[in-house]
Amino acid sequence: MIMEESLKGNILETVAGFIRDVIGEDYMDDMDIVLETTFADDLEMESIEIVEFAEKIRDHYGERVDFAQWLSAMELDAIIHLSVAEVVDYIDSCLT
Amino acid sequence: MGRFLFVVPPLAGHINPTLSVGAQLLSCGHEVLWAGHEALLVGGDGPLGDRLPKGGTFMAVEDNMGPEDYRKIVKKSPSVSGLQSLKFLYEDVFIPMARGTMQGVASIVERVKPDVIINDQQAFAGAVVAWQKKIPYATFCTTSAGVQEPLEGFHRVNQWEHDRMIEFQQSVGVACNEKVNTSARLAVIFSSPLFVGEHCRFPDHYRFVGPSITHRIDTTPFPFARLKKTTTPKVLISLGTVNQDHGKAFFSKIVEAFEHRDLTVVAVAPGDFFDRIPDNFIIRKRIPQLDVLPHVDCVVSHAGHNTVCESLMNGLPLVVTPIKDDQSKVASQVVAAGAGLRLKYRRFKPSDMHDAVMTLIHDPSYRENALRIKASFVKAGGAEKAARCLEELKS
Repeated sequence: MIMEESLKGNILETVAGFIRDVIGEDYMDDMDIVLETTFADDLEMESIEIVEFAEKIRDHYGERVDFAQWLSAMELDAIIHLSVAEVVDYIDSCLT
Repeated sequence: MGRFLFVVPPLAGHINPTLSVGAQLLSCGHEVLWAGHEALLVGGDGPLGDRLPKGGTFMAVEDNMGPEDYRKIVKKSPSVSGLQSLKFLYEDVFIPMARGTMQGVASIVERVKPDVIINDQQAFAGAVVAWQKKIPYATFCTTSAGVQEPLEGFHRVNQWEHDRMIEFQQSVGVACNEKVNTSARLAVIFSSPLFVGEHCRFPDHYRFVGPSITHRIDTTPFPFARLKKTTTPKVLISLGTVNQDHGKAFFSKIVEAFEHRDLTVVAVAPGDFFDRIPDNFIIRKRIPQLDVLPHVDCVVSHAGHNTVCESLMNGLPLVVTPIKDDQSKVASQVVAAGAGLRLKYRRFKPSDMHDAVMTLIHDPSYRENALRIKASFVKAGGAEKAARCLEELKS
């Protein structure tokens, strides 16, 4: 249980780092990236930024996490409401 | 001689190219009619009937959507941005509008008996009626993003768009599993393959004609004398005719970026967006854009397809800050062409905007690339070429 939480915590940290890279640290202001943060509403990420984010995930986790494939199968509504928690859960499910 | 019927949505950006092509057809002796709404959904260009080229005939389309329905769209639109806009456009605008105007368009077509119908890719009542009545029709793609995938790599999103269209078609009795909103015989794209991206391969009936901006008269007043007198570099800054949330925040950053600088700014925005008016700013709610562009050095735009192509047609590089709809795609085209720089609409800092504009002014490569795109537009043939394509479709 503790192991699992720390793994997810690590994933969150990695994911948050990539989001900061894509958006640009300068633009993050005081925004915290937490599990509830949504890509479209909270982060105002555009589709091309999400694609860029997906590339960073691929480079970091390699073949174990097929994030682009997961995204491409996603319905429009799901992409609009996509949260950091869903991404963390997905990566976690690939790694465990 | 032929009889050509344009079926247009109440959106200035979609109507304007038809005015130039229509004028060209009229000058060749054809009969040209426009079926549309008397008033525009947004913007204030005056009744459509008054804006048609001389000799053109206006036919008012009956619409089951009432003023209240359109008010709701106009009210909701500014708060929709980014990924949500695709859903909003199909579910709240394109499909209800096509449904609402189909009967009206059909009865006009029965009365007029056109040889060719021209529909807008996103206002497809005209296409549906043409398909049903087996009349040759052409489609005007008023944004070149309309011939690309809405979200590259997101297959389900593309499928979603396709499904919405097929669902709509079936509900109105079009027994066809292909989307009919883009004609299978002639699709006119107001861009060039070079600008859209040469790696894109298009079928033969996709004809790229570049911007269609000739034969237009715009009497909107503008202080040209003042603009011509200034010796500093001039920047045109416009977010188009559609109001958008955060417009005020956008222009207050513009003021911070450019006041007290050796630049002249022409800002297209309502006066109440500004707490103060810097000496080097000309602020107008509306401008005669095609007439102003030849006098400026670069453009800051939301990456609306018309503004971008009109700027490039003048060899002007751009800073693009896409907000929604097709703008992200169009902004990507600008950047890929090397004809401009992209900033984030909500997140840029005044210093970013200042630096970007300075780069466009001082680094000649952006202007060279803009001129390269211009050359491809000029070669594409514009309204004259579009009119010839329509004539071919008739015969």
